[in-house]
Amino acid sequence: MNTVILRTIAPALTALMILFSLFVLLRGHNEPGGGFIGGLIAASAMALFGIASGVQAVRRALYFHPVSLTGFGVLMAAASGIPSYVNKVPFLSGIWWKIPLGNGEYFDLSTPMIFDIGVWFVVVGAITAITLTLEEVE
Amino acid sequence: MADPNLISEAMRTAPTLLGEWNILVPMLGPLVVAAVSVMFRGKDRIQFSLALFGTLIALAGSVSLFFDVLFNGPQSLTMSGWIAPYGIAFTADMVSVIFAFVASLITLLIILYSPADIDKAFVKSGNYTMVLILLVGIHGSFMTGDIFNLYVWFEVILISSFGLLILGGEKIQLDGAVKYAFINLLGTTFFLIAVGLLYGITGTLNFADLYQKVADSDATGSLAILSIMFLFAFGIKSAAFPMYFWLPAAYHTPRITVSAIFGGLLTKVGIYALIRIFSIVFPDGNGAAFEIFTILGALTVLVGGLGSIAQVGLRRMLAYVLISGVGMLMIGIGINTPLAMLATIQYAVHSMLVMTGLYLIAGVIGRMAGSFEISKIGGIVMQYPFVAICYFGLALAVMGLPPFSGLWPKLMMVQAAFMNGDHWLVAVILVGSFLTIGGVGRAGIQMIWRGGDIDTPDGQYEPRGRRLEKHQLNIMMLPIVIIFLLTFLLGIFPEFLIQFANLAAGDLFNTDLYVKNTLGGL
Amino acid sequence: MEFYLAILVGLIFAVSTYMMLSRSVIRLVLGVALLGNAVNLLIFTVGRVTREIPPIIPNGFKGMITGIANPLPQALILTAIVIGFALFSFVLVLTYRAYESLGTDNSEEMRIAEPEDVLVSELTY
Repeated sequence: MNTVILRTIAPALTALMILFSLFVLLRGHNEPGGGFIGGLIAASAMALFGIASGVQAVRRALYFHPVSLTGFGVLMAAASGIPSYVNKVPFLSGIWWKIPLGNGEYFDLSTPMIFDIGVWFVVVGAITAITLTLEEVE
Repeated sequence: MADPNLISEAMRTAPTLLGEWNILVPMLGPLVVAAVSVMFRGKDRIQFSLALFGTLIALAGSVSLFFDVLFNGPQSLTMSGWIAPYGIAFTADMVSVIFAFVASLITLLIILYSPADIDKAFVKSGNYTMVLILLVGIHGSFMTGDIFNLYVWFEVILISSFGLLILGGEKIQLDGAVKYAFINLLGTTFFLIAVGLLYGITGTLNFADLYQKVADSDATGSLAILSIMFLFAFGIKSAAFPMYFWLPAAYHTPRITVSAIFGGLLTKVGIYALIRIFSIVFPDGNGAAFEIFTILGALTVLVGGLGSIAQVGLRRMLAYVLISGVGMLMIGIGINTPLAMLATIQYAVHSMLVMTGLYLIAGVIGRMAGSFEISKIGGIVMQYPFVAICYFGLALAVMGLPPFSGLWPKLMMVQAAFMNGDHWLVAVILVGSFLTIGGVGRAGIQMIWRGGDIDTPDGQYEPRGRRLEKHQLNIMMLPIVIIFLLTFLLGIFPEFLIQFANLAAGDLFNTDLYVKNTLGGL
Repeated sequence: MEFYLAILVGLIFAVSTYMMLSRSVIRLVLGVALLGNAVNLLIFTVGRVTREIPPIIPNGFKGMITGIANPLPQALILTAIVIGFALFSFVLVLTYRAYESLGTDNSEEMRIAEPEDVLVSELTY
C-alpha cells in the first residue's frame, strides 16, 4: 500500500473528505445527510490516511484518542436533551432557536443539530478506533 | 421547508411534568458519566471515583423512581414528545423498578470490590467505563416500553460485556469469549428476527400497543411460533436448558468482578425480558409456551444441579448453580399464577444478590489459595474463619435453607406448583435444591474444613498461596458482608420484599395500568 | 415482490446456517454476518414493499399524506446495520486474536476454557 501515488494524494484527499463530511453533516439540518453519514465519510478519510501513512500518523493527526471523541460525542448528544427539561417537554424534543445574524437573516440553531454533531463525533471516534485497530493487527 | 414547529405540534403530547424525567436518571446518569470517563481514559484514580459517582446516581435515580412507582403507579415518558405508539416509550412499573434497584445496588457493591481485583492496566483499558455502560444497558432493558428498543439495549449490554470479557486478553479468556460472543450474537439476532416478524404481523413495536394488537390478531398460528422464537432468543440470553452451554464455557474466564456482575445481572436481564414479553405481548402464552417454560425450567434446574456436583473448578461450579437458579425462574414464569410470579420476582432478587456474593467470595478464596481448583484450596476456616462463615451463609442462601432469603421464594414456588396441580414440578424443585446442596456443600466442605489441598491429612493446616493484606481483605469483604446481611435480613423479614414483589406480580397480571400509562391515558 | 424477497431471505438464512455449522471459526463469522443481512432484508420485507412517495411531509401540509413508503423498517434496518457492523468488527478482531493466541481456528480444538474431561475421582475425592 506504500505507493508514491497514494502517499502523495492521501493527505489532500483526506482533507477534502473531512470537509465534505462536515458539509454533509450540516446539510442534514434540513436535507438528506446528517451526523451518521458525515461521520462515516470522515472515518473513511481517517482509514485512507491510515492506509497511506500508517496508523501512528493518524493517531498524531487526530491528537485526541478516537475513543475519547466517542465519549465527547455521547456527552454532546445527551446534552442536547437537556434544553427539553427547561422547556418542560419530553427528553430529546426538538427545540429551535432563531439567532439573528444582524442583516435580517436568521440562523436556525436547534437541539437536533447538536445531537447530530454528537452523532458525528461518536461515529468518527468509534469507526476510526475500529479501523485503526484492524490496521494495526495486520 | 415548512416551519418545523408547525409539524411537530401535531404529534406533541401535553407538557411534561418534570417528575416524569425521573425514569431517565438510571440510564442517563451512568451514560453521561461513562462518556466523561472515556474522555479521562488512562487516569486510573479518576476512573474509580467516576464509576462510583455514576453508580450512585443510578442508585439514587432508581430509588426515587421506586417510590414514584410505589405511590403513583407505573411511570411513562415518550421520547421527544411523539404520541406513544410512534415515539419510543419508556415505562417503568413495579417489576422494572425492583430489578433496576437491585441491579444498581449490585453494581455499586462490585465497584466497591473492584480496587482489590482490578489492576491499573485494566482500569486504563476501560474496565469501569464498560461496567457503567453495562449498567446503562441493563437499566435501559428494564425501563423500555418498546420491543425494538429492548433489542438495542440488549446490544448495548452485549458489546460492553464483550469488552469486559476479554479485558486482559489471556488465552483462556479469548477461548471463552469466542463461544460467548457467537452464541449471544446468535441469540440477539434471533430476537431481531422475532421482532421483525412480530412487526410484520401487528404493525407496531410498542409493548402497550402490542398488547392490544396481539389480542385482536387472528394470526394465532404465526404468533404461537413467534412466542417460541422469543422463548428461544431469551432462553439463550438467560442460559436455559438446551441453550446454556456458553455460560459455563465463558463465565469462569474473566476477572472475578466481571464474573460477578455477569452472574448477578446478565442472565436476569434475559429473565426480565421473558417476564415482560410473556406478561404483556403473549399473556395467554399463545399456544404451548407456558408448558414449554415449565419443561425447560425443570430440565435447567436438574442440569444445573448435576453440573454443579460434577465440576472441579470453583467458578465453573458456581456457573452451574447459576443455571439451576435460572431454571427455577423459568418454572415460575411457566406456572404463571400471581403466586408463582411473586415467587419468581422474589427469587430473581435473591438470586441476583446471592450469586454476586458467591462469585465475589470465590474471588477472595481463589486469591488466598492461588487457585480456583477446589482440590487445591483448603484450610480456610483456620486461616480466615470470617470468610468461611460468609461462604457458609451464602451457600445456605443459594441452597434455599433458612434463615436466609432463598427459603421463601422456593417455598412459594412449591406452593404455587401444588396449587396448579403440577406435582412433578414440586419434585423437580426439591431435587434441584438437593443437587445444589450437593454441589455447593461439597465444595464448601473441601475448601473450608480440609486442612490443606487434596493430599493433606485431616487436621493439618498448610496455608497455600499468599496471605492477603489486611486492607485488601477489608475492601473485598465489605461488599460480601453487605450481601450476607441483606440475604440474612430478607430471610428473617421476608414480608418486606414480599409486599413489593406482590405489587409487581399484580402489575404483571393487571396490564391495563401499564397500557394506559404508556399510551397516554395520562 | 414480497414473495420473491421472502424466498431470497429464506435462501440467505439457509446459506448462513450452513456456514455456521462449520467447525472453522472464520466460516462462523461469515455465517453470522450473512445472518445479520438476512434479518435486515427480512425486516425490509415485512414492512411491505411499496413503490410510493418518500415519507417526507410536503411543504404546507401538517401531517403525512397517504401512499407514502413505510419509514419505520428503514429506521430499524439502519439501527440494526450499525449495531451489526460494530458487533461484526468486534467478532472479527476477536476471532483473529483467538486464532493468533490459540493457534487454531477449529472450534473443536478450542478447549482451553473447557479442558477435556478429567476424572473427578483423581482430582478431588
